[in-house]
Amino acid sequence: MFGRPREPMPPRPPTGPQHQPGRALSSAKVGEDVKLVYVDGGKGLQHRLAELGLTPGVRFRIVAKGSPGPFIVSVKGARMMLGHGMVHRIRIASV
Amino acid sequence: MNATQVTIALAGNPNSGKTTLFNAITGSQQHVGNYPGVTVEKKQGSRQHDGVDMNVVDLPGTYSLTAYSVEEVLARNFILEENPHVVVDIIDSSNLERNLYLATQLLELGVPLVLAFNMSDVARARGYAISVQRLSKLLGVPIVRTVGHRSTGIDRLLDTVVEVARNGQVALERQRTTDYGSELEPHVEQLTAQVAQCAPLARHARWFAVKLLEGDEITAKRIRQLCPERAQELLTEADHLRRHIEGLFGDAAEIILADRRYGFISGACTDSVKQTVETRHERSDRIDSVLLNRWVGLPIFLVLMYLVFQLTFWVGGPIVDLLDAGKELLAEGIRSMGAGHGGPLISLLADGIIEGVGAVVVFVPLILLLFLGIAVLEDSGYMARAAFLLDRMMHRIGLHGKSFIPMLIGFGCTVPGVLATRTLETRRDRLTTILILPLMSCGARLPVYAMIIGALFSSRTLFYVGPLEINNQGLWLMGIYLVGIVLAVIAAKVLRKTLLRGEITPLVMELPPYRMPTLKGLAVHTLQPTWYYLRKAGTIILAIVVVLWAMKTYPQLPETSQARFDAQSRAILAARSAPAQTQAKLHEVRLLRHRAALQHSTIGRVGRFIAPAMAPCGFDWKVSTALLGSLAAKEVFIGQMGVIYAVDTDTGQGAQTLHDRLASTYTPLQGLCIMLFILIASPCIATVAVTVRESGSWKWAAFMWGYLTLLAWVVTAVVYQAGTLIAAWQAG
Repeated sequence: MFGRPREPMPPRPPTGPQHQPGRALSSAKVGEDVKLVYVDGGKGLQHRLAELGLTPGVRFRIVAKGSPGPFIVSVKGARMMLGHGMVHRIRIASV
Repeated sequence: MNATQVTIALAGNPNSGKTTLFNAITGSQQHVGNYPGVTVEKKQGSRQHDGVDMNVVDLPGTYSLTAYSVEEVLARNFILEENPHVVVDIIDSSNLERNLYLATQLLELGVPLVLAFNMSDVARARGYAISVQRLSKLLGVPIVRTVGHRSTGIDRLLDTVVEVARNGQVALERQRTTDYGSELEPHVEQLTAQVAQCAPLARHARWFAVKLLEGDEITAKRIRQLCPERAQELLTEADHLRRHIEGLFGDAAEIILADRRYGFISGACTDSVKQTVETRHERSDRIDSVLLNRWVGLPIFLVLMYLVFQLTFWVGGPIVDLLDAGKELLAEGIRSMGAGHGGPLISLLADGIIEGVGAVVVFVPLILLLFLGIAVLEDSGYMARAAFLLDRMMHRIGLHGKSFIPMLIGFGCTVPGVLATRTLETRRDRLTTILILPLMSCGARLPVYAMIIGALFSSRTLFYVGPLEINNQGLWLMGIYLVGIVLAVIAAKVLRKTLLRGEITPLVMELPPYRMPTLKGLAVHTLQPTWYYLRKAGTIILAIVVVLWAMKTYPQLPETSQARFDAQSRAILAARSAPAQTQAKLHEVRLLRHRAALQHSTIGRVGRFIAPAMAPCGFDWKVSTALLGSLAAKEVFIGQMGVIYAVDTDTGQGAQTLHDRLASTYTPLQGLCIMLFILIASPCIATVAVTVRESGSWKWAAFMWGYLTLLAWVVTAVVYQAGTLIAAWQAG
């Protein structure tokens, strides 16, 4: 096998807008390691983030919480800046 | 395959050093064009290596090959349709996992691939130890280390490319694709087999299968075109599988697939990459702690912007003045050469082309320096962060954080501002920004404001802030700029609610590490847009200038009037007064003659014709004519007013006289209205020209011109009428 794929994720029940899983990204502290639970947005946004490394369940680190200024996270070794609109859409859980 | 002529495509993430590598490979043998129908640049070049003639195409930088951006679609379409012999994926080695995502997509496309591990010096400095052999084996793809900005590794890269080109089929068979796991892989393979049954799709069968599973619309369309009989069957099957996957995992299929690719990459990297020292990002972080600091970040940004502008005008200003003087000399030279045989050609050359096109060319030093300043900030990695500093503020207006930079540039000159909107991802954001850009009062209008404020608003010190004298003239100037900004905000909001509706694209960007800009990079990022400005703005301006010149010159003064002026000149010469007096009188006659000619010409008549329409704004025919002239370029307004008032604005003395003439003819209210009109109306021809190019159609440029001119008329009319009423009420 070339490259071991991770274990398949456990099936997750679809969540609706009233039932926001996880906590808001803005609640995380700088330097904290968290994992992505859910992206509140259309499939387009979710996919785009996934392609940039923010796949469901991925672990990432909060590098900076701008305001003003970018919210910076470190995903897969790359630093990503998240704009104002994005931060609110990302739900996380502690690891 | 013809072993001596091959096509090579370069792919890679933005920021991976692709452009630098492309330049290193093709050197001067490159040219830039356009992909048909869109404004994305197509860069091609050639290179000979080992007896092989390579046509090298630099694909747009992308993170992936989905269909979220024009660039991605172009990149994948190029590979699917042009079938390059080899694709080189340029990888930023210091950012490996993310960069390999594109590689997995390229592997899936089924095209012979070579990976260039670029920036390997940075990776090493960061403490990464990458076993290229191991990774190469795991992926089944040759990997070459390169350092683009030092041109290291290029020869080896080209050797490898040539080898793969010569043995494409063998290379393909060696390549590995993402294993999607025990749950998904069987489905992918099954769908692939089904797709492969369609002959036109067989070559890239797996790619199509995976894209179908992702719900990719463009692929669906392509399959319907290429394989109509089986299309529906395939699409139904794909749809069925998608729903199955979603039910199983709770997330859309495309997200699961993306996740799997990263898993594949992660596995490969865990085996091949060791990080020896945790030195990653440290220096960048320290710099960021200052530049992105909550309190100091924004002020620092403003200071940096101010510096860029200051430097531009401080260094560039004198050069512009020099060029301007040179332009005048040239024009004068041509006029004196032609004096005697006169003739329209001389006039066209001197008064039309040299003055008109010259006005644009003369700006080049400013443009160049401005671009240089921006390029330094951009290449160092700062600009990306700046966009985020402003994101929240811009969000409220309905604009993207990245819109700020074009708008800031627009305060210097609108033309490069329009060019700068390329960094915005969606067409919608780009158009919105371009449409409100002219309201950022550009540098060309400043002399007009200065003149009018100077003439019509007598200087009064209002108050002191410490040692700083706050003068009412300065406030008026600032006021005009603010009006522009306020109108821009309103216009943006209105546009967002009507023509350009939609959610603001969320801002996500890779944070580039701070890098020392390289000379090569700066050269490319400065010279290319400058050349661009010259070429494109210049060709259209040439055409318009000729038209305007014609309108200014024809119809010429009738014989009788010409004779009259000639007689006056002769009389002055015959009077034999002191030489200085004679010169002054002759000069005056000349100016009066110019003024008569202007009144008689097409543009003068049009000015008179539209005067009634401009009356509600408080403009007489003189102002209207001058405004018409400023259609080409705003600075022309002063010159035209000069001609109309028969004063010579080039000599300092003349300007003062114009000053007095204006002061005695117009009220401050009218002055305000003139300034407002100049602020809002008709962006200069150069701006229209680049808008046509960047928006891809005349429609938007025409709309921009139209709505701005209409808005100008409305605002000015309202202000004038209201002002007059208030004045009457106060008097009464």
